[in-house]
Amino acid sequence: MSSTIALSRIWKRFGPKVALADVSFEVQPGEFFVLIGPSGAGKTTTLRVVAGLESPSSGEVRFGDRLMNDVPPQARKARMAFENYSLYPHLSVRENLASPLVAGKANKREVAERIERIAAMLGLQSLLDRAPRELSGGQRQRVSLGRALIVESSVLLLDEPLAHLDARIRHELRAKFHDLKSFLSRGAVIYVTHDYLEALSLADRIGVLVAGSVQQIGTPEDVYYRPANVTVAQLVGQPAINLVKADLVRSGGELCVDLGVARLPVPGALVQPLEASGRPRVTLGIRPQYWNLSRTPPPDPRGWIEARVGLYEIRNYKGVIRADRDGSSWLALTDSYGDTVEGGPIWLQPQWERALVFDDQGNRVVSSVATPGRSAHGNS
Amino acid sequence: MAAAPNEKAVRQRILATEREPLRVRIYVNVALILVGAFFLFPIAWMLILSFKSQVQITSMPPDLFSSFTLENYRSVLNIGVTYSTAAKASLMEIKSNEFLQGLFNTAVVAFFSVAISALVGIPAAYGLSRYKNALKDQLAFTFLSFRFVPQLLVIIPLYLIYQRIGLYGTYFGIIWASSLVSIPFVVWITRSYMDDIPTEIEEAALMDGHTRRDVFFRIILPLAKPGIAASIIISFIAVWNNFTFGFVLATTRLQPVTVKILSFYDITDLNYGRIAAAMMLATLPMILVSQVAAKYLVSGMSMGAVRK
Repeated sequence: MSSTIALSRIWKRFGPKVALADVSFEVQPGEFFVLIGPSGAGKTTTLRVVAGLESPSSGEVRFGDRLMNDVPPQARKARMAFENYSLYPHLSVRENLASPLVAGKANKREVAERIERIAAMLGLQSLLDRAPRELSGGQRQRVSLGRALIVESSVLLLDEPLAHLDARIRHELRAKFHDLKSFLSRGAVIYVTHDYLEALSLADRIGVLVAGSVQQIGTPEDVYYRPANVTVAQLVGQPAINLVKADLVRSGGELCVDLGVARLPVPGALVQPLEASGRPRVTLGIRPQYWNLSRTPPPDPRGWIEARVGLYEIRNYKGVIRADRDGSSWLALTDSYGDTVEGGPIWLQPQWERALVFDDQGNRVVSSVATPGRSAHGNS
Repeated sequence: MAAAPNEKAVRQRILATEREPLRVRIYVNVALILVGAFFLFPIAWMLILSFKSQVQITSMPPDLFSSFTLENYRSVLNIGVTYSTAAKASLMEIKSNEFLQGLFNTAVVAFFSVAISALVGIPAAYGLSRYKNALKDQLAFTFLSFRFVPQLLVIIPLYLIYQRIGLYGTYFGIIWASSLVSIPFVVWITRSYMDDIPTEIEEAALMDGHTRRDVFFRIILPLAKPGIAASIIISFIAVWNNFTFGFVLATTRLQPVTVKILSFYDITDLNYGRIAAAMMLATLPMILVSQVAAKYLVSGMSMGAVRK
């Protein structure tokens, strides 16, 4: 039993408020699809529409060929883990885990076997006879996950399963999800998170949802290196991408971007696509790790922005520099800690092959030429 | 995974730091004792009188703490009492039988009223708590408004209607009227408990594949148990205490104990001890029920299930 989850043209309104605006995507059997977006973007609503806990105002939900709009949640055979765990407070961990099996009228031996298996997988063996209120947050999370996984299903919905947990347990459980991916080989998984690192590390494909509408659907590489627009670019990456408004100008036969504080000549490979876009005003997107930095005046100052180090701190083993110049500021990451001094001079140059260019509507017009491996997802 | 922090120890530490200073605690406890004495005094007074002879009660000052007698209980239950005349003996036997019949009538009415209230009121409370409906609040308020109307105001029309449709002097008629007293308790108390059960828990159960019916019986009922128990106790007491309906709507045979006790007031003989004994017997079931069920009145069942 395996089926594609397909949402087509889903709208959901709560009174005058539009929660989902024309959301469409498909998740294939065996695919781990991560929905990412800021809080209030409609991620959970999307999940609830798939689960049948909310019915869409318009649009269709299909599992395989079957239209599910009028199928009640208990008949959809989708499994779901809730953000707030939603364990049954009056039942033990064992009984919580058994709930889907009891509903499916499994016999006693099967129930015992499956509980044993899932408890071993999630490390819950010693907790089976406890009540939910006697568990820590991470333990409740695992019980909730176990309850969702104890019966195989072609549709698995996970709502922020790692939110609200402390960093160490997050890490532990995120690793578990990598194991789970093989366990779940045949099911289609929709995983909701606001954490782009989770998304990048777990997803086969990512859907980016902002203010109820889908901004982009693509692989983690697509979303990180080829974001569809500035919204996506800002959502993914920490510290956030530098967005710099600039004008395209011709100066001495060369194509330049004019940042106001500096005029940078554009290297050959970018000239053609930039000219073809025909837009005089663009937004440059430069991730903090994609600057060339110099603490001493570069031999050829053309193409460099001269600035001062306004703020410098070490965050997650990286030096984070805020470079200021005439009221503008840019963030840059550096691996060499020692030689940066707050208040000292610094020169920055975009690594053009990795710079993103957006038009004045915020849509990307030119992609970076190179796409390095997945190891370069900013700092974690 | 690290051991969960010892919640009990943490809670005790919080309690210790939040504990009121001694002076405040003394005031609070004195106040509690005074209030307790105020409420317990009538019961204590009645209890003492029920073990006293008429002479001890009517002397001035009343002789409360010397000797005690079971005479009053024996005469109410008509066990081995000798009276001065045969007429008196047969009168007392009739009164005693009437009293026991009254206790039985009250028990029947209370049991069935509460049972009907639970059967009707609990599902109604669930519906009011969970389903969206334009008329929901009006409906809930209508239930509650049964409690606003003074019973004396409706009792005459009710009497006339009952006579006309043949419900006068039937158990069913009294039970029906009493249910109007107890249903609002069940609906309102249970509903507020159900409102506190997070809908996500129900949704989780639906996602587990349970039918709506199973969700109600497996999840909602157990979680609302303290509320249901509380409402049943309160409505049981309300029905047990009811005087008006039994007085007006019942024939002599079906009168409840609250009405039957009146027959111990008598021109020939106003025996306070005997009346006190009868009242003790009539009150005892309520005291027992409320004590046994007191633990259900504690809430907090859903703690720790859902992250707030």
